[in-house]
Amino acid sequence: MSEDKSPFRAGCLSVSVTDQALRMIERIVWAEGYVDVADYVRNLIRKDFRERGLRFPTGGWRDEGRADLVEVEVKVPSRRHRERRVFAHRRKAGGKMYESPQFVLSPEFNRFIGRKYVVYEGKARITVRTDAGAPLVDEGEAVILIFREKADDGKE
Amino acid sequence: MMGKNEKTEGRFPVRTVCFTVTVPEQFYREVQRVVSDDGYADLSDYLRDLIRRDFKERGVTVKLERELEEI
Repeated sequence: MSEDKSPFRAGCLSVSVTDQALRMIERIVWAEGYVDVADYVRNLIRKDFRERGLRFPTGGWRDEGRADLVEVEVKVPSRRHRERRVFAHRRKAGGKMYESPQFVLSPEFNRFIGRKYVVYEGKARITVRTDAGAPLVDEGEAVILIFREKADDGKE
Repeated sequence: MMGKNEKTEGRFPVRTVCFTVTVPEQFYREVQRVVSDDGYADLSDYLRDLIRRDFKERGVTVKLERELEEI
């Protein structure tokens, strides 16, 4: 179990199988578009947990708004995954200059204007599954905005 | 991460490979609980059982472990 200062805490599961079995697993991984052998095994655990009625722990939210790992599968290919830059928003207050990150989205997100959200920070892995070809996997640091469904979001 | 171990017993080479799966800590603890509740020998035993069941569903007849007579 890793005990470093990283917000991502992980455990390692090792398994020993015959060479022949690994070759069969690799064939399944290739044929079904898994990212790698570990992805296939994680999926088996996920399936087993579902059968046992256990909630699949995707990392779980931790204190201070940090998440261990958020895994999301997107079924429809997104056309919005081009890279964008985070701008610096600077303002003066009380004779001091303050700076904050500023994310600017395109007008297709206008429905979120005026709504309330909570922010979490962590690592995320987004798998975009498509009908053809291998799935696209985006992985990295993430800032997650949750627009709670039940909360009164104050939208006017 | 993978490692290979080859043992040759008589005329039958037996090869096993080991791979490691990294999972979030909470996930790891949940797996440990399942292993302890269901009486699996260890984490590896649990994972092999999952793979064995998946192979069975797919109709694959590949051995996952070295059997006693092979060792």
